[in-house]
Amino acid sequence: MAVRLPLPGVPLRLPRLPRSRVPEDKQGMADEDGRARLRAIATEVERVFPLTCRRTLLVLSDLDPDRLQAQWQVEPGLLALAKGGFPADLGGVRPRLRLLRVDAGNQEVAALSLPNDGEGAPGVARFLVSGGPGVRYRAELGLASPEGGWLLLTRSAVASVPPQPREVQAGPAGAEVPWEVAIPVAPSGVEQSRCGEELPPTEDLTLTDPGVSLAPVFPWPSRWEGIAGPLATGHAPAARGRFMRLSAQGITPLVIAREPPPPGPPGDHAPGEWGVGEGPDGSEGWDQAGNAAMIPPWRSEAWRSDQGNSWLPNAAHGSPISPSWFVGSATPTSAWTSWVPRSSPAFPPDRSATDPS
Amino acid sequence: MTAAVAQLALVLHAHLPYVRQPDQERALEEYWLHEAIADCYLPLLEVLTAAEARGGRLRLTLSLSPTLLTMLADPSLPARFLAYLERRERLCALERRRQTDPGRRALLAWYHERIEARREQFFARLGGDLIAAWVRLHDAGRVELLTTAATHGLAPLLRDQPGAVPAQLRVGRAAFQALTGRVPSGLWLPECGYYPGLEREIAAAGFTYSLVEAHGLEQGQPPPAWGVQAPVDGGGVAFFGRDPDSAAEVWSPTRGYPGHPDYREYFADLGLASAGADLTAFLPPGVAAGRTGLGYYRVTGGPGPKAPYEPARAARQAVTDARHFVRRRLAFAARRAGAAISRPPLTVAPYDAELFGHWWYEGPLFLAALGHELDACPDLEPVTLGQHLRDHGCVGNCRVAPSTWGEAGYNATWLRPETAWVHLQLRQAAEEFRELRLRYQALPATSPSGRLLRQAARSLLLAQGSDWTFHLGRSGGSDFAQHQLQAQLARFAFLTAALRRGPLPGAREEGLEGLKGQEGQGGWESKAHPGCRQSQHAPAIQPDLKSRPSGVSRGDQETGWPTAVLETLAALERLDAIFPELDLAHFAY
Repeated sequence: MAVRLPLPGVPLRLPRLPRSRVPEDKQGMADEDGRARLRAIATEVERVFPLTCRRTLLVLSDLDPDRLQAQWQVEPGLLALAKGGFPADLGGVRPRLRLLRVDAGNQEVAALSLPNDGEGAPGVARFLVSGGPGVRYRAELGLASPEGGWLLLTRSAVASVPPQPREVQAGPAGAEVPWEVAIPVAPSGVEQSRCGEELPPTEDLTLTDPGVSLAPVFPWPSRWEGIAGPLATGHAPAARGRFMRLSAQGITPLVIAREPPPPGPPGDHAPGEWGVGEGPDGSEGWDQAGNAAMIPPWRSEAWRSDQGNSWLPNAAHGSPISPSWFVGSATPTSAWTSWVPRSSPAFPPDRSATDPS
Repeated sequence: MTAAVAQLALVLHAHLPYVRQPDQERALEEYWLHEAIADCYLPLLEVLTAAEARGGRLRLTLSLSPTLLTMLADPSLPARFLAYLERRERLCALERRRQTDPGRRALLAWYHERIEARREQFFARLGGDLIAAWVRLHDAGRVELLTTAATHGLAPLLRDQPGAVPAQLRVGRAAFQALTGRVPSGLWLPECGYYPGLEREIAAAGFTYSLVEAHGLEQGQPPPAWGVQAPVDGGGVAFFGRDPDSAAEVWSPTRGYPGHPDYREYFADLGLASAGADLTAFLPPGVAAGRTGLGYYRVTGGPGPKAPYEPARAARQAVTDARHFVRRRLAFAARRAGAAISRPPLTVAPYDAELFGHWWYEGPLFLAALGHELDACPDLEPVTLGQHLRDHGCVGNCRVAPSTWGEAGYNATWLRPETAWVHLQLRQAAEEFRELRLRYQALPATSPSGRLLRQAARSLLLAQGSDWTFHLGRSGGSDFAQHQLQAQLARFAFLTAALRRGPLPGAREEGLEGLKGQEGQGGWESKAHPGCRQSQHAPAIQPDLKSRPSGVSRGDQETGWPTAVLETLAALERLDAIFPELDLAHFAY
């Protein structure tokens, strides 16, 4: 190892590390050719294997004593495939996210419609809850038709919120209060199209009365022939295998009524709703089916996922070279960060950007 | 007080994410490690060694993360660290030539002496082996070593990911054991993150105690009678609670010690403050700014210009703050003195180890002064967590409440809209790895398939670190965090795709492009997953693999692997040379 003598007259004692700590062939540094080779391979791996959505997933997590966060991804092609499973005379089939209260018989307590073009990109929604730590929730993602049809695509694990701090604990735990739903994906075409950027508060809400009875709308199996019935043999042959696989995995497609169909003529969306690309002012919009007045706007939170097929803002670039910050550039980013702010709420005072000169 | 004096358990958590980059001669992120060694770990060792030499009472509990240990054990580290010190030294010399102000020149001379001292300490006294130094202090009873999850994965956000939490805890413990030769009793939960049921995983991994944020105990059921001043039995695992007062005295934005006007200004680093210094020789090529560990200014206070940094003045303040810290601990303990107590009230004061020297440049001086203050204060006994537990046990049972440390006290710091894609990608990868692990785990670790599987596990673990979701979208490190995540997930996708594809018959060769489409499949015999895409371009499963019965080893005789796959595998093993003895059984499902 080429270690220079650090101090004149001071014998250098080389490290006495057991050789077993790092595999022998990993010891030492590569020369420049070796480093270049490593860089090239790492870059090639990232180019060939960009982040992709390979599975439809829905994760429900506790944020804090007041909020749950649902995040999901829908694998490309699945929505179209699943829509093909609905009878041809059903229009307005839309993806839908539902929040269920497990300890109350899987009662639906909140739901929201999602855009039809959300495949591939992640979506996020937050739910304001106040049921307390003993209440168990589950989220479901599926397709819903205006007539009340429901096809489950995926469901989350059960989640609960932590208890409130004692000093602010108010009311008996488990008491139900109005729900608030945040919007997972913003209208397309919004300027701030990067994943994670906060949008102005939205008033979209699609709440379901907690007491609504969930009864089959499509008596099994007369309308919904299942999974391998007319719907698959008719206009959506590709759906057959898909739905059979869903069933085989124990996530049997459910067909339930969840809310009355909205008034108005059938179509892609009813009055009071507008779909993506059809905002009330002609801009791209979002379906609005709830009672906005119920929800204080300051509590609404909304984010959008990235548009199009790009998973991340720069995931689709596929640059054959390392990102600039990685190899060093005139505008380093990591130079300005610290690695130890994990426990710090904020740093002590007088840390303002006072010009030292 | 009757039975005993009050006790203080100072707990430091030393952790850095895995930033080793053998593909670069000088990587900016590796400077984090070098700066931490120079300004945090070596000074801390000096404080503890000095206390030991004088027979002082200072003791502390130290958590060493497996990622940090791995980087400290890297045989190339001494040479790299030496080069870093020399660059810092050269920068000092350059500045001394440039500066005309006598005060600044004197300060630079002072910095130069410190650099010399660190170099002498690291090489001449410690032989370049920090781990051995920590272990020696552990064996001497001056320090109690703990460890944390393998890559600092935040357990509450990994619990739904198959095998993730058991793997993080067990791989972390095994890595610590392999790197130190010691068996850790205690576990530092990354970000102090706890969820109900985690105690079972902690116990199953072999740990006996851990530590949670204050509200984890205070909101527990039943509420502990001693609050955070004694550990509780949280279901087979003892849990200590972080003392909020001692935390606030350091971290409070209004009264935290590091904000005193006499301390060095963190944000006025020579490399960041546009001070006109020539950083060309210090920073990696093409990087215009970065921390140097050198600074001319103190916090000062007020909106005006910053005043010059005066080391002697700052050192005096550190003594004052240490004295204040001890007085405060005694005052809190005295509140309980009126009641009949059967055990000494314990103050658990955990901090990031890198706070002391990085954020708070005089932090090591504070610790040294604290040691002296404790020597002169028989009513406050410094202990380690394990020592307190052995002597006094738990005060009762308690179901600990979900909690983390940090800004919000819950998961919200790491679970933000900006990070949603990370959790989904990790979940997706964890599910894929479960299928592959169950299928291929019997293959010899030295076979190409066994190596692919283990390297995929390493990439998955590395992507799970909480550091990335902490930084993502909220700091200057966001781009680096995103790149690390993308890189590890891409490597995972390659490794699993190659594993699924297997060797190609007839010595066929293909590049990585030929593996596209394989990464999402559930394995060549696995059941279809509801979300599993039927790739349009995925080639058919290789017949020679499909015909093999489950669990049958292909052994070392595997042949026909494309050269591109083997070369890429070897490169990734070199890039992510961590957990060399990875045991796949740690991924418990």
